[in-house]
Amino acid sequence: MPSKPTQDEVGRLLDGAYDSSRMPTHAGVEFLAEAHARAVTLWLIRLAVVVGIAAAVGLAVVGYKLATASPALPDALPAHDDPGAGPRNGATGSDRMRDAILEPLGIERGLLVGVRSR
Amino acid sequence: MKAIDERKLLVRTARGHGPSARLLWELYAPRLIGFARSLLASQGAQEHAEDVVQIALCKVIEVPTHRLRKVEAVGPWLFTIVRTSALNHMRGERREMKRRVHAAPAKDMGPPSSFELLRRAVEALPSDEAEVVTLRHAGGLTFDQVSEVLAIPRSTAASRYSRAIERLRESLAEPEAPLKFVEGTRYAK
Repeated sequence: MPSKPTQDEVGRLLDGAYDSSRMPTHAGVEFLAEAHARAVTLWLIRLAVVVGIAAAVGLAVVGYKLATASPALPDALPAHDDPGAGPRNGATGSDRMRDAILEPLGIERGLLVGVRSR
Repeated sequence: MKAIDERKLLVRTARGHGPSARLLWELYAPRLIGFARSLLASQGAQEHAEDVVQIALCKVIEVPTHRLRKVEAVGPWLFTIVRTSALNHMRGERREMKRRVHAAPAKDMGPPSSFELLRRAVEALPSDEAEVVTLRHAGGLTFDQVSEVLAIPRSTAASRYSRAIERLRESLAEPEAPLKFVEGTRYAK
């Protein structure tokens, strides 16, 4: 009958028995799958945050540009008494109205201007 | 070899770093499973040990990282979580275990090694003694840490350990004797 091992011997044997390299290996499939799923979830959350921030910044820039842009001004209308106005700046509304009145009468607008300037 | 900062490993795993999760598993799983087996052995549910450890580690990675950074000693903390997980499992499984006449026979994996026989001898100890032994030797915990994990005085942990070692000494002196320390144990040579 073998003699009883000492307490220290039993302790050493236990250290050996519970050494990780001597323990059966386990795949840990579910834990690793869970860790992977968590990685994917966190990645998607980060992506959503980045996209959200980018969208917010983009909207802010567009909003700022719209708010600070000066409204389009109409062409300067010629003063009624300005003799040089009219053809020089293109046909204005009043020119067109004048043409509509004078054309049926066979009077050219330039002629009328010449009369006025005299 | 570069020493591993276990707390960083935990935090990285919780942040979804795959290689860290794998390393954490390789580093701790065998010992945690050995500990869980010693607890579950009282109900003949050793084969559930891996599941219990996986559930516990899945809970660990859900802990917020700012709390993980406050963990002082990773090893004892993990053993505490696995213990809670195993006890919960046992509570859930108790009814099913009582209905069982015999535990399912283990698959034939060839003759067990001497280390395997010793681990079985530990699993056949009363569970309060077995968990002290596995925490000491599988977890590498000090008596102070063991008493923290089990929420018992240090002197109680030390006396349970002494009793367990004495039983193991007797068992090793009589290798032909059945590995039987408690009534109703499943292991016999």
